[in-house]
Amino acid sequence: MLAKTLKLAMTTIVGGALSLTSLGADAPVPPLNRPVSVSLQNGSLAEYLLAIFKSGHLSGGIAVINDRCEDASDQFPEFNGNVKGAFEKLATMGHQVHWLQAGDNLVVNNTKSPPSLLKVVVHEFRFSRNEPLSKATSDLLDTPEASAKIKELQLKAYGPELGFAQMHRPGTPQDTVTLSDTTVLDALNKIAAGHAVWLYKESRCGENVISLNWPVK
Amino acid sequence: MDIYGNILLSGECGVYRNIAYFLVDQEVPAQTIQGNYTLVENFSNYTTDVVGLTVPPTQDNPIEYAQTMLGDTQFFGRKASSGCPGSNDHESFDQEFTVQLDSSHSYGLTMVNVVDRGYYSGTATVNVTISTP
Repeated sequence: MLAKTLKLAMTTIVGGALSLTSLGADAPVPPLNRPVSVSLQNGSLAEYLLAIFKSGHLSGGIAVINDRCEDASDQFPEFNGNVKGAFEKLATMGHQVHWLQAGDNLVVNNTKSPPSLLKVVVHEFRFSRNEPLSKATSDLLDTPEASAKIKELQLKAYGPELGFAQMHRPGTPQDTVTLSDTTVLDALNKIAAGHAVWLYKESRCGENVISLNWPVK
Repeated sequence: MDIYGNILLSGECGVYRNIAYFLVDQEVPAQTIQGNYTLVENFSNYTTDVVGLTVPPTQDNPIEYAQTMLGDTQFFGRKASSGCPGSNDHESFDQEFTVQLDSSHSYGLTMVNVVDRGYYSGTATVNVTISTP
């Protein structure tokens, strides 16, 4: 088994404080119709939704609000079908799953509408397609409008999980994207660029802790 | 900032550490393995002193052939605009890895790390300890 022949060797520690076009190609399958195959899982709703996104090669995001202090763990079934069928199956199990399609992106919430922070309208936001997703997101949360909402709702924004570095590439002016009068949610979908997935978690348990990660880059 | 000099975040208050790895085989001497693959991180056994903070999600990291050295950035902190972490805010978890070549070829790595990060009685800390093997 190759599994026994691979090992990850920690070597050094560096410290610090801180289109498919129509030319002869089939049209892409709409996100909700894409086939998915997910194995039985014990875990959180967010992780199961993430597994659906990965299996369906979806881009977009997942927003989960939790009234408990910890992720609620549940048993989720094996599922083979399409994305919409997977969401409907979750609904029959008693889970709140609401989805909306924005272009080629899919956004799933466990509340009827997206969290307040994601609905904030930002007057102007710029990011580079050449910079890490975490940097663009960090700048987005630092816009005056998002920052004001974080203060108003007394949200404590922890994280994100940064993961492993990606090679640096020199940027060009064409990499810069400027968005005007866009919601935080739409900006996240633009940053996702048709391939990445964001995960917003908000815990309402004593203190309002939020995190915004990119589990699929 | 990661090992390549990319700025990952701005306006944050916290602590981070970059850990460099090579993916190698078990030959003697070990040979570095390069390739295009996804390095999947899984996190478990999560504990924290911060009420409401939860285990990080499973993380897919795209790795390119040109990357001989792999750099993991461990960060614990908050948006500075919402305040800095408290003097005893920290978290701990196990970190496991899988190399995923495609949808039908995945290889679990034997190494398991224990990560402790955050502030312990005011001391900024990021410790990554190999617990297995």
